[in-house]
Parts: sequence; structure tokens; C-alpha cells
Amino acid sequence: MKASPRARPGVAASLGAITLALSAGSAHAHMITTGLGPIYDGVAHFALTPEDLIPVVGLAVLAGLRGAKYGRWALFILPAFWFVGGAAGMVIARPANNFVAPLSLLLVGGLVAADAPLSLWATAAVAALLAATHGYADGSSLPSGGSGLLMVLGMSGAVFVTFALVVATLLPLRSQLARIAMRVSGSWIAASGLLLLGWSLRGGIRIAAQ
Amino acid sequence: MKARDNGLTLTCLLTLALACSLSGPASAHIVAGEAGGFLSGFKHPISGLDHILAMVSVGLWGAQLGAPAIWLLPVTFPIVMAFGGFLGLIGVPFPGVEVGIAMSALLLGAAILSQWRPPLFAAAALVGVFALFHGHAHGAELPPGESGLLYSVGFVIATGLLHLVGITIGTVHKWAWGRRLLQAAGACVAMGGVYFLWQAVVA
Repeated sequence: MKASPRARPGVAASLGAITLALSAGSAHAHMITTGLGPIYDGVAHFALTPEDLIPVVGLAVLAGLRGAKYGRWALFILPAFWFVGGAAGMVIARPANNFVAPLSLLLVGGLVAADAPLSLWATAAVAALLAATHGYADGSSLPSGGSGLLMVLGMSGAVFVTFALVVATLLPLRSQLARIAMRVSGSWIAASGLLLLGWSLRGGIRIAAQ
Repeated sequence: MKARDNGLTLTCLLTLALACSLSGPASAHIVAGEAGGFLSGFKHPISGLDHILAMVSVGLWGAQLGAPAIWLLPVTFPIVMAFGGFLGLIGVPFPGVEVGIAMSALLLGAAILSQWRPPLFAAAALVGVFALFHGHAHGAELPPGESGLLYSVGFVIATGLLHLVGITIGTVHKWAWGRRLLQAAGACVAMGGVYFLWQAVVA
């Protein structure tokens, strides 16, 4: 059988997004000016901030392991809570804790590596928690007012598209080897989060998103 | 269908690996003398032969043991190794790290040589203990100021790819000559372990 044609654009776009993040010369978080307006600034911020991008990809892998129903719920919960968290961060304007990125990586990666049999509600709660905290961290360092809100909107849109592309790529892969590869990727995400947590505790951390 | 899906996945992974290898270091908030990029982290696990031998041996042994060890060990190892790195980063002392690393090569090599088949839990525990030593050594070696998620990602991916190399080589296990070849490789790794142990004890 042919590989799903729907998967190919998804694969290409997912690889593009990840490559973009990894090849970033420098991640000037919250200072990205694309020249295309605040919405695209928000999109660029998300694409160039691995601390935001990797947990979203990890959640998409989790949804890929669990099934389409989980993916559909998380697809709308993630951007919605990201936007609400970002708006709250702009209003409260207190910097987020340094541990947001490592702990979310540890949580999402651990769930993927363990292939945790989460209920639909538990998955939705994890997605909401992750989106709200990351959205808050982003929003807390944005200018208040219309441009800041548009940047958060751009980030939320980027979250929606990234999650949709990755989960659409992974859902058709039902072979045992594909599931193992997904779980291994989860273990790598969790391991990266654990190392980042060590750096955070050591006090020398300068996360790109901060 | 499965073959096509697996081929697609493999293509994705290879393309991603290529993209990663071509990408420059992310110099986000890096101060002078700091190595915080993907490539810097990627190079760390492959900078020492003792680490390389042990990581590849984990893959070789997993391939020799077959399913589910072939995938359980590579899933377990990075997380436990990162926990060791975490302990090293926050300054928790770990006695005899160099001896532990040398012993990991020695014992993993001996396990491959003798085609030892312990219960899965015992194999995972053994590999987990070795992972702690390797992770702690890496974590403690990082000078103050180094940071970055990309560094961590590079570090973990390099470790995982070393396992993958071992697993790939280990696929020769299905042939009789391959089993002999693996045993010979195990003997070489064990001899390397003896050398590293001698270095650790004498030095």
C-alpha cells in the first residue's frame, strides 16, 4: 500500500519546523521582528524557541500513540489555553519560573516513553496545563496591548498548525516499529528535560525563552 | 504497507539527523567560553572511547537479547543517564565514576561474549546502573555556565544514535557467522574495559 499521501506534506512541514528551530543562529526570544507584523512575529517566536516547540511536538507524539480522538481534543485545547495563558501573562506581567520548560519536557517525554494509558480527560488536562504555562511564560514578557495580543495569537496559531501536522503524520503509522520509535523519542525528550532541570538547579541557566 | 511506513519514518529520521548535523550552534544568550549549541552537546558523548564502547554495547546486547530488550534498553538508558547527568550537574558526589564506566564496558562486553541472557528486569537494572555512571561523568564534566536545551538535545540524540549503531550491527545476530562476530566484538569491548579499568585504578 502507498504511504498516506496526507502524511507527506505533514512530514515535510514538521521537518521544516524542527529544522528551523535547530538551525536557529540565535534565538532572540521575544525580540523577533519579522517585519510582517506582530502575528508573524509570534509565529517566528514559536518556531525558533525549542523550549516551546519540543513539548508541543511531544504532545503530538503522545496523541499519535493514543489515537485520533485524543489528537482532536488536544488540537483545540492547546492553542486555546496557549492564548488564554499568554493573555494572562501579559496582564499579570510577572516572569515565569525557569522550571516551566524542563518540567514540561520531563512530563510529556515521560508519558510518551512510558506509553502511558491516559484517559481522554487526563490527556486534555496535560495539554491544557502545558499550554497555559508556556503561554503564560511567553505572554509575561510581551508588551501589553494590541500588538502583544496579536503576537500571542500568532503563537497559538503556530501551535495549532505544528500540532496538527505532527499528529497527522504520526497517526497513520501503526506498525510496532513506529510505536517504538515514538517511545524512544519520548525518552529522549524526557532525558533532555532532566538535563535541563539540572542546569536550572545549578543556577547557570539561560534558557533561550527567558 | 508496514515496510513503506517504516521507510517513511526512517527517511524522516535520517533527514532530521542530517538537518541537525548541518545546523549551526544556537548562540542564544551564550557568553564567551560557553558551548550551548546542538553540535556542542552532540559531540560530548562521542568524545571518549570508553563512552562510545559502552553505548554501542548496549545496542549490541539489546540486539542479541531480542525483543523486548532491543527497544526497552535504548528507552531506559537515556532517561537513567540523564538522571546521572542531573546528579552530576547539581553536584551530588558519585564515588568511583571512572571505575564504574570501565566496568560497564568490561561487563557489557563479557555479556555479549558469553551471550548471557538474564531476566529482562536484571538486564534493564544493570544497564541502568551503568547509565548512571556515564551520565554523572558527563554532567560533572560540564563547566559552570554551560546551558541550553539544544545542548541537552544534542547530547541525548548522540547517545541514542550510538545505541542505534549497536542495534544495527547487532542485526547480524540472526546468522551463525554473525553470532560469532558479535561474540568477537564483545571480547574486544571487554578488553577495552580491562584497559580502562587499569587506567582508572592506576591513574
